[in-house]
Amino acid sequence: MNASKQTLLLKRILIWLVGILLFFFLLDRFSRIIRVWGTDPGDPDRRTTLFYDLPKDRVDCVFAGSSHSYCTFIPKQLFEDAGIASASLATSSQSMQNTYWLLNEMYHKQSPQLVVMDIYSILAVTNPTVMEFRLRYTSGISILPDLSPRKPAAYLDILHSDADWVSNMTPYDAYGFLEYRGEYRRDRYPVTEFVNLLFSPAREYDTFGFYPTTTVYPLEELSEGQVDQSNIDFTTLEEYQYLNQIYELLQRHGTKLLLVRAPYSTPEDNYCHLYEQILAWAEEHQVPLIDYFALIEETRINLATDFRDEGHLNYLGARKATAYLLEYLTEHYTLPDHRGDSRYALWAENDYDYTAVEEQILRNLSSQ
Amino acid sequence: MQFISFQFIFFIFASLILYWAVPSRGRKYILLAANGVFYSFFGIWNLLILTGMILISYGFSLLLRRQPSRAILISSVSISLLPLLILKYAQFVAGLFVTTTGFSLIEPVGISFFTFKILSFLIDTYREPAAEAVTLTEYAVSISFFPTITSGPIDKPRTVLTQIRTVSGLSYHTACTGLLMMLWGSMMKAVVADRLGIIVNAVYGEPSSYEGFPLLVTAILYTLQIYFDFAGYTYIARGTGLLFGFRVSQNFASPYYSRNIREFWQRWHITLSSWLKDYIYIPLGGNRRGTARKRIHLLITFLISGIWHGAGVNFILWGLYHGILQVIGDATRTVRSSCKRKLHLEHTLPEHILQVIITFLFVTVGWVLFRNSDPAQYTYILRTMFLPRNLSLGWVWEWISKPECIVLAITIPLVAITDLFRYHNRDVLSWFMKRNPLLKLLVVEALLFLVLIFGIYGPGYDSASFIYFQF
Repeated sequence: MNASKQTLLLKRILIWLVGILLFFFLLDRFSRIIRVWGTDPGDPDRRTTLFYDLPKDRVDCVFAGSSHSYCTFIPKQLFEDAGIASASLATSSQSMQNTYWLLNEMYHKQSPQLVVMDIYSILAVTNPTVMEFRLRYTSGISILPDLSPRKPAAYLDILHSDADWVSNMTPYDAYGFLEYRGEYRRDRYPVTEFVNLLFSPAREYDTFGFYPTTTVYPLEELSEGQVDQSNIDFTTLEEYQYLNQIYELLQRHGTKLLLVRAPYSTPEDNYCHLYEQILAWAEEHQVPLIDYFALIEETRINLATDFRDEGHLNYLGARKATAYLLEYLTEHYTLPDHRGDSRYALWAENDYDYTAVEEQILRNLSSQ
Repeated sequence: MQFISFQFIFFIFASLILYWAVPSRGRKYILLAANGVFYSFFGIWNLLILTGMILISYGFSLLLRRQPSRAILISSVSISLLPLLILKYAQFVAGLFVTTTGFSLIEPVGISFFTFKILSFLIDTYREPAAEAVTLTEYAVSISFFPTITSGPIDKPRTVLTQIRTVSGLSYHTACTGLLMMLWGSMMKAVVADRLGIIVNAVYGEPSSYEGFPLLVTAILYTLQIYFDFAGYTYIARGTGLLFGFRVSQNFASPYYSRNIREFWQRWHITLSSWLKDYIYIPLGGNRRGTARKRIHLLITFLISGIWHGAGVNFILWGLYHGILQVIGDATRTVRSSCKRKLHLEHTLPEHILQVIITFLFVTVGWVLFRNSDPAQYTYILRTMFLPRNLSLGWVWEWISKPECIVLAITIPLVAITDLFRYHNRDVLSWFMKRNPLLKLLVVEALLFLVLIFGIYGPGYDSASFIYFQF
């Protein structure tokens, strides 16, 4: 090949390389923009997409699990009262498999001291409604940064899952802007909202993944469901496998695990003595477990006013649950107080209007 | 398998790797396999019907080569037409006599297109029995060529055959041109056509809820939609063909800049117009049997065009409408020229613009018939769309947001400008390919992201429904 042909070839290769790199760079940028940075109360999962954009090595405490987690714990409250920098990775009906991959990705930017994980993700396997929900939404995998080299592995692992819901999953569910298109097509957002959301300004780090709600739904009692005589063996579940993987992952990174059971009342759960088996696992691994079922009086959670529905606390309930958690964390862990540290301005200056939330709940209460 | 899908992209590149990896003699087999795989995605029955038609028509072509008799030609054409007539039109015809037919038949994707290719081959073989022999593989490849099987262009099989035999290599320039054409076509289809379709489908879903201006705007939007859809598809087909070393015929030449209906049909669906001219209009006698016969031939040709497009009265009316416009245009040509001369308008820019606008409006009215199969609907729309009522665009925001309008406001003029250059025979593509590599890179990246971000594709949306796909 003569010199001029060689030069031409090199030029073409260079142009293509630049083009490909530029493509991935722009894809990453656009993915951040076009992901729905939901301040829309109708889509709490969108708040969690902001997690991986938090500044590096700032988060000391991470919340994981399902909606039971993101409805219960208020990162803003933890920071205001004790300077604990926390954020939530919880998403609707999050499976343990998803939790594992979300936490795995987390370590490439954060090194939290503590992960607080709600166990309803495991207990939910006995609830057909929740499992059907998982059939329709993949909940979690799309939150991983699109260009993360770990995302393909996560996606492939989830494809190999035993769970029925996986059969509905497509790349559109896993990749940010593609999933966004899928969202559009699943009519979660009507056509007219689609591009509006694309251009709406991102309100950064509104609630750190917490989902404040103002509905008041009086409960008569807490119920962990009916006892099913079939008695599922926890160790045979996929959730067990991933719980162990999560534990090992956290161990490797020197992160402590704290399990919680947020309060709920969903009689359609089939109890199957799963809770006892999880408790046994926790004891075996010396992992503490906070059971809010046993702490209703201590936390002063009011069944008549503090729930938004059968499964979740509203903002009033979350404040009480978070207050208890804060006491517990202060007593059992040494998490740094970052109040006054300019590096934590994101938490300190977060101006999400919780007052308005509280006022709305009080209005809802008084109208009942 | 949809053209706008990651599946298709994967399929293309897998096929290309295999195709160019084998020696040139083996490429036709790879291409045949690729054609089969592609078409099988539409269902095994589709593939079986296509295969059957290819085998039967090839058999007839051998007979015609040996004995080019009119009887064999008529038999071969009739038998080749049978699947199209039965699978596409039987239900429609039966529906004219009974309320419910009680049956539904598989209508193979693209049957109208590949049937015409088959007929073209048979008739050409009859006309030139001594032409170079064609193997079954070559014939099958030319008929089932996957970039064009679903929605054309209707290339003559011999054009494809020649290329099958002469494909040597793929130059860097050709590959880049092909990719660019695919990208451009994807932009036209996924960003513009499908976005316009949102409004069109909404309004035409319930036209009686609208009156006057909204219906006129919707009609114009559909005029744009069908062009962007079909031309977009053709760009993808041509670009894909280039990647395999084939030059697929151009099917559109800036049709909406036409000055009259006759010119429109020289620029719109060019290969269909050529086919109709070569195999219907000219055999009927063309313009060689006097003015009256010429006009009758025109009407027949456009009637057939209408019928080809769909099994419905509206398509017949649409075809006749264009035929009548052609006849009127032909009949009034002298008078119109005389008027223009007297008004000193001939060959002036205002005249040109006026002609383009009037032609565009005539075409738009035709598309109303084309789009709406319900007589009550198209009657209502045609009756009310020119009434000066509801002269606002507020209703648009019910279906599309302002940012989406910005997307359209950028992309439609972009295509309109390139089409204007092409109308004046400026080869925009060649011009662009000679630009600075960095500029080309930036434009390509912009187009790519335009499609990725603003394209309407994904689960729950059948992007295979290119409008002409249904034919």
